[in-house]
Amino acid sequence: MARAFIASLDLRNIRKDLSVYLRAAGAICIEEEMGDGESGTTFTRPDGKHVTTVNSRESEERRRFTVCHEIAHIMLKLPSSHEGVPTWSFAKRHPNEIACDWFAAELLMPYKQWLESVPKGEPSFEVIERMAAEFRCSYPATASRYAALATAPCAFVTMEHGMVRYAARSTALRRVRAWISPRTPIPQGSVAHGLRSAGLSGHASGEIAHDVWFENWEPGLDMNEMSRHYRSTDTTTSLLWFEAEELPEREFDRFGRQMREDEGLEELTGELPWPGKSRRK
Amino acid sequence: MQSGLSSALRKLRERRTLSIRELGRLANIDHAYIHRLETGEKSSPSPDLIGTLLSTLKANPRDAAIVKWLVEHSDAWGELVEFTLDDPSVTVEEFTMAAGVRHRGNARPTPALLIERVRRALSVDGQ
Repeated sequence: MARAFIASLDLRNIRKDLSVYLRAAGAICIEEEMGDGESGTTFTRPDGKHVTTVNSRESEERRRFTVCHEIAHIMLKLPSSHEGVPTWSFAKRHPNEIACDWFAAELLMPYKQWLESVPKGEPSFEVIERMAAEFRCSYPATASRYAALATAPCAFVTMEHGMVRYAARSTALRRVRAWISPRTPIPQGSVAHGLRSAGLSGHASGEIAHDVWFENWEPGLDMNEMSRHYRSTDTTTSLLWFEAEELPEREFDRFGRQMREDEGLEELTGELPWPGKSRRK
Repeated sequence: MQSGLSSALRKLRERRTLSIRELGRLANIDHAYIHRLETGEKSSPSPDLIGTLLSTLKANPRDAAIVKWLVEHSDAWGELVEFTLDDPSVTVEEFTMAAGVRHRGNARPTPALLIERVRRALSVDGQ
């Protein structure tokens, strides 16, 4: 849907100016000071125009994301919840809000432009920060986009107050059903856990056993984790990835059951399995 | 669960200082059904039934228009409905705009702030 929306638009200037999207959505954007935790609102007027207000107290990257998130609400015709989800809540994000975030990410970091810019090879803090600066997006939004569009098996996990809030996975990871459960504690042994336990803002990376994060897999593989912790909001993010050749091959049937390799018939021994020994007596 | 429609019906009944049973008797409607409407257990009354309730409750044209809109949008925010019914300066147009608001963020504005923003949005020049 987002790709269809932007397909006919001139995207050359979107890193400086989002008015091309606002015009296409029939929206007007204004900025004003709003309360803490409020990023933006959109009203639809009787004349059909949509008026989006964004919080001028938030960073430029967040304001840009809010504009695109609000455009998503307009284009996808998705309402939002009347109740705010407090930051201390471990509740999963509302599906409408997740859909709008995906839409917004496509508007801010369009697929084609992204593929032209993203360097080949493994991710690093420098790569994500360079991409974030280039597309004028926040680090978490960029890292999430990186994971979603990576050809290598990759995931981006957002954690708040020590609990997993949301995980975006690349196609390769989704294909092998690598799953990270929301509303679970940050796993012990992960880089994110160590970083948060230290109680300071910062970042770290390392190699860990893959079943630290993906417990529904057989142990024995290693994976990479690059984590960042923001002490002021008690938010932690982790980018997880495998070397492509390290990913275990797993196949699933159409009911989601893992398929085992067919072991075939038992080898013939020359002895009939019937009648049983007890009958011969 | 309290919905916009249930909040409005309860508010209008209390304004007339009627009990549910009294309202049922005056409107010739089963009081149990009115109770279910007010608690949100029922949410799609017929236009005739809503018309009868509104005339029995002597709702003014603005309040009646809001209630009729709520029949089609029963998930509207209850607090906003109550605020609007208490503030006669809020027009039906302002109310429906506020009720359809989309948010981003962890916090939500109060109904008063929402109406204030609607008024600003209405005054912004179109492009």
